[in-house]
Amino acid sequence: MTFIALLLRNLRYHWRGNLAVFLGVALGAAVLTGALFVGDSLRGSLKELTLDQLGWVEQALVPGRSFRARLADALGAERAAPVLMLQGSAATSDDKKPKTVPKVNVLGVDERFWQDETSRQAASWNGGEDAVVLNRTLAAALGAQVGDRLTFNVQKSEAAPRETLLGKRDDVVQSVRVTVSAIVPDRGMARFTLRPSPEPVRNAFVPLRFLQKELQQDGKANAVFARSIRNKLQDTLTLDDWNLKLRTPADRARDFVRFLDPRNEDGVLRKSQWEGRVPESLAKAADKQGNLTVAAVIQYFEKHRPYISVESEQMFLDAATEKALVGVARSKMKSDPPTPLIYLADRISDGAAEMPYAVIAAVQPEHLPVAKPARLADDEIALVVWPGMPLAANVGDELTVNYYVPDETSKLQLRSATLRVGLLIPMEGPADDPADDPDWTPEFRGITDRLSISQWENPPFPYDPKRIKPIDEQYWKRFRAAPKAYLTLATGQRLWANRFGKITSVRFPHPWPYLGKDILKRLPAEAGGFVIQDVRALATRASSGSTDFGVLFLAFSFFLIAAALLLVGLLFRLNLDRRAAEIGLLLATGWRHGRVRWLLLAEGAALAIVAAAVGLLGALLYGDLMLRMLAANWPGGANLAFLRLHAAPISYVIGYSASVAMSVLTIVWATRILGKLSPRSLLAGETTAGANVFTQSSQLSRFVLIGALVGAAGCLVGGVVATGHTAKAGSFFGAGALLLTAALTFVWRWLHEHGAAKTPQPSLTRLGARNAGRHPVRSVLTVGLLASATFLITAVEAFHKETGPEFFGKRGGSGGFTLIAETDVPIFQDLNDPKTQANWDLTDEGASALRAAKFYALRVRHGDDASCLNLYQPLKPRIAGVPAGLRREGRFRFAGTIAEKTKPWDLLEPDLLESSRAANAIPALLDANTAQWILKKSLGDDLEITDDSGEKRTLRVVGLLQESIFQSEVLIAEEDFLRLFPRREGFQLFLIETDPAQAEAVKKALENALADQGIQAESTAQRLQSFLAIENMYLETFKALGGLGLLLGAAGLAIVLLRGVWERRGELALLRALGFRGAQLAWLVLAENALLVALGLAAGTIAALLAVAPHLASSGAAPLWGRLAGLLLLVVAVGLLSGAAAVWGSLRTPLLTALRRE
Amino acid sequence: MNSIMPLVVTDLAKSFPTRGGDLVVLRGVNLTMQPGDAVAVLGPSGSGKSTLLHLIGTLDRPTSGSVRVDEQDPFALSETDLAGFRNRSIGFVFQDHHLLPQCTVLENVLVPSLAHRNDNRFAVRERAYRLLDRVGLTQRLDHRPAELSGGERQRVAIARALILKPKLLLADEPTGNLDRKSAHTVAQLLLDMHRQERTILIVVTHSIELARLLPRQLEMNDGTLVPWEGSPP
Repeated sequence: MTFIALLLRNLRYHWRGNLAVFLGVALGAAVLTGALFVGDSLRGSLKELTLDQLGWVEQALVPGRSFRARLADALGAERAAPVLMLQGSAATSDDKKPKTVPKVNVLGVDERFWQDETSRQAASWNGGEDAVVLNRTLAAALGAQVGDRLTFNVQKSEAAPRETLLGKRDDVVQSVRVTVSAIVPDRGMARFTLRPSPEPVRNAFVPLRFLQKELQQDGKANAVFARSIRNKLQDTLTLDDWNLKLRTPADRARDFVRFLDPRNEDGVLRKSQWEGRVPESLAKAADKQGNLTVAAVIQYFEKHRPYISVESEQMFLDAATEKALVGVARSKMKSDPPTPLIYLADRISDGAAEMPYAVIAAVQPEHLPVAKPARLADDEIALVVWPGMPLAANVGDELTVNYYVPDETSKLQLRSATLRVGLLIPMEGPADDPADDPDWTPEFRGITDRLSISQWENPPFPYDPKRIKPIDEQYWKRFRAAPKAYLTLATGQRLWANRFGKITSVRFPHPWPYLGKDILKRLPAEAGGFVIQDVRALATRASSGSTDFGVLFLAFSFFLIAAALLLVGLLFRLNLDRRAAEIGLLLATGWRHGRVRWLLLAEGAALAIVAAAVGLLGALLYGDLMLRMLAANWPGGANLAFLRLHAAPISYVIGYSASVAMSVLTIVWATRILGKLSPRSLLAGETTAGANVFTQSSQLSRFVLIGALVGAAGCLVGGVVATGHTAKAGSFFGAGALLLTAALTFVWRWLHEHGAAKTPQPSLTRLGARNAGRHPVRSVLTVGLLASATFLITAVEAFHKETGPEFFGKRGGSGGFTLIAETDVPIFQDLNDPKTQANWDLTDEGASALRAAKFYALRVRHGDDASCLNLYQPLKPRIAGVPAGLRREGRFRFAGTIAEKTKPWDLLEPDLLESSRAANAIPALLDANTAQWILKKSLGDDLEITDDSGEKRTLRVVGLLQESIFQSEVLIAEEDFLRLFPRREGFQLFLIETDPAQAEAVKKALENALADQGIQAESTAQRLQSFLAIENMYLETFKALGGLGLLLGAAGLAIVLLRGVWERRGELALLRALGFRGAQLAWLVLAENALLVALGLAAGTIAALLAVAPHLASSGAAPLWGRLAGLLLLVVAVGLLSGAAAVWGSLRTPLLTALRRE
Repeated sequence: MNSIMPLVVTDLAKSFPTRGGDLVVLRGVNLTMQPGDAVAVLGPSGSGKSTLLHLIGTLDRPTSGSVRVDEQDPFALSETDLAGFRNRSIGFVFQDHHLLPQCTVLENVLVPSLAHRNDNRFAVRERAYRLLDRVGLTQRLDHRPAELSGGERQRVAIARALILKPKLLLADEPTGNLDRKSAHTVAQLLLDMHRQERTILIVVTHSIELARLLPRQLEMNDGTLVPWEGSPP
């Protein structure tokens, strides 16, 4: 006989009791480890999904601009595919039931993109056919079949930025018509996306060459997807990729020839083509027949205009390019190169006459096109004097320059500047005047390539052909876009510089061998957004999830785990009660208390070790069940079918170790009573400390009770005062735990004192109730289980959120907006403008609804959805620029700001927040929920982002919006937005203020009018509800698991009552022998049961209501009191059913058997 | 000549706190015994017989007074040392035998030997065999308590009580649950073993028949121990 042998013998002999403990531990381990598996599964499934969506792609180049598609070949990658990637809407061409689907990714790809043969063969990828291959999600959304004709609406490419004078703001959408050639399943590249999201992706693939042609982007791509890029990107870029044109005199000469004769093939201009359009000295180079050769033109340009002009295809040279170009020039030149800014004024007038649509050049005074150096002050204008000039201005006279500039809503506004004539620059016509140079002005299709002003094609600025006089046409014929006036560069930039740039070209001396290479060396690739992203690594990082679901479900399962452990403790304790005499005997024969505890602990540990291992199997089932529940309950109809069970080895280790450790600790706690009992008491079967022990504990319990109540009061006050979410959560959990402790301590004391009370008139009810005091520890454990379940249910119900009436106010979560809309293609028009609305084909009802509505447009930098709807971790959150007009109105409700005395929206004002500005941080607002749960940021924290020029910038959280519609994005001031993202144009997010009764009409009208832009409008309440639905789903999950805990609590209650009845079976039998009826005995047991249930219910409910009081007072929580009452009734019902089971058990025992046992 | 008295009980008193106030059970019990002495303690239920036995057996602590065994005050020992003392010096036989139902007869006898490190397990095992032979249970070594009669169970309890050669053998109503014949056998066995082992034997009983088998009889009266003045045999 050894210690181990005795241990094994005990385990086997007491198998019934041990089995119960075993099951309790196994359940705890299953729930604990299963919760960790949920985290593993989310991470694993998200990773699987995103890696499948990336297919073979490991790296991506998406600079946010178009570049040569051949760049893909130059990267030296193991595999690379150029792609034209656009977002837009798709529409069926079915006349009867046309259907438009927004948020469609249109990808122009060639054969290199595809991984699998089926998709590769689905279309002729390298040709120019109008075929489209849809993935199944898009096909289903459209209801499209192979052979159907579809129209994709995407953003039209445009040379000049749309938010400049020459940008086309009305003509934004390009429709691409295609025929469906195949529908491919949503696997691999068919669901390709760079933006990880659990939402199914709508992809349409068209042959790259076809899309290039349709978008007039021949040879261009805007993305390269690759694997194992070997070459350095910096070394592979060309000026083309930067959209830069390097124009030597010869280039410009050839361009001039093409201008005069677009179909020229023989390199000879006829007299009729050049006559009256060239300077005299060039005309003299013509032969006797009047033929002018290209060589002669080149010679003229090289002699009289000997410079190389570097220009951008987007009109303006951005800051990084300007810096590089000027740097190159300075490396070889003694002074700065000419860096002109060219602008088209609406007019130059002297009060009496005007020159309409005059090109003005702003340039450094030293580079003015004059024979001798001249001076020009910043408030002066140098007027070109040309034959027939309508103005009769002299030096010193004042001229007015009227010009259009786009305002913050991208609407052109007429402005004027009064300048003094500081210089007259002669441009006689026949002579080779330095000012006679139309190449100051960058090329602009439809204007500079036209032989006459009357041929200008749809000028995007206010244009009245009637204002053009013959003298203006004459000027155009001879001088084309040569400037009619010059300003200093400083003045020009003050008037016309914009976020796209402040110069239009840089002139280098000619010749300059290898100028292109010199420039490229100084242009850092990242400044143009040319950065190779390791998308595979990013996707893997993002798939770690915005929320640690392991921890979340561990928190959800906390009560279930706690209940399982309480049950383990209770069952183990009951086992000890049954084995009291056995333990007493061991002590009587000289076993030390410690050794007996070791024996019992070893038994418990052995059980826990095996049970936790069995629990790991259960964990797989529990994890799978949770995933199914998550997938089934995920709101918004998003398909989470991709979720698969994953179990990481580390989770097994953590789950197993934690389960064993917690179970053993519980058992240690359960056996601690042994130290308080004498062997004699144990031999007599006593396991409850005597009155003397209570007297000692009574003092302690009084301290515990008072301490817990004081602590809880402190937490509650803290909850009212605190503003931070963490502090509020801490207050809730702290107050809850302390109140429950206080309640249970009170119950423990009460049970002891109630047991001692002398009742003059004993009744069955009192007798029954007093039975609860026979084993106060058991009873308190049971009350604790019920109280915790009640607490959980009450608290969760109190946190339930609905869109309350305060949401709809201007100071509510909706900001007073009824609708929120987004578009796939940016909008450049002012939607409030009746003229804009007049262009739409609207019904009377729609038109009147729109007239009454007020629109606020926000700019958007696309990125990851930062709301709880996105399971992935948002590494590059979506950013929205809030216009000053909206900020001034002070709408929305704030949960907190870093400077309480300042108006919240003022914190975004560019100059207000000195501390942020000093630290070079840009103030930003976040929704409080997004900040806390998804981005894990608090007030004053920083977010790092990358701007359009590839630089890291810091956003500082200065305010938190409460329960707002802005949970998906980070908000910054529009001014900051434009500084950070100058290349993002137009508006894609719209807040619409309208009478709720008119909301549907407004929505319909907008969806009709802006269908091509892919508008999607929804009510703000709907949007908030979709966020709340996630929160409420989590609460429901918490509650469901709490419900399971309640079942365990009920099981505990039933076990305690049955055990009590079993111990008192003789006593009950005696009562029966004395003539008590069954119903009376049932009442006796039920009274004890009812008391425990009532105590548990009261303790849990009171503690929960007090703990959530600060939250209820300060938030929009809308507890469903009726439902709460129903749930509590359920607790009562479950509790009483347990009692009924005990009664049934007690009455089933035959009378004589029970009496004999006694 | 002052000789060492193995058991000296002096002014032993015990009261229990109850909700209704202290309940005094023993008030100044004195008793002295030598090895080989045996005494029966009689008295009505609730007179404090078992309490006295529990105090002498160190299962409970006295309110006042002392118990000395071989000049040693066991209650001055730490809990750990007290357990060791009980293990080495005291053997108990209870009315309810308290055999471990999960263990065999032999294992039950060996249970006390598991309480502390024992370097001579083989010798203990040998003694267990001999004791069980002496109580007539050689054929029942592998049986479980549930498979034994009441008398047999009590014989196992006697063997268990003697396994570590205690100085004191304390029996609390050892025949209380047995029929007359079994009671006689068990009582005789208890005495035989006591004589062979030269232990101090104290038997608490209601049974005059059993008491008379012992050389000395005392009676609990109002919390004190007085000579028994019962009817002569």
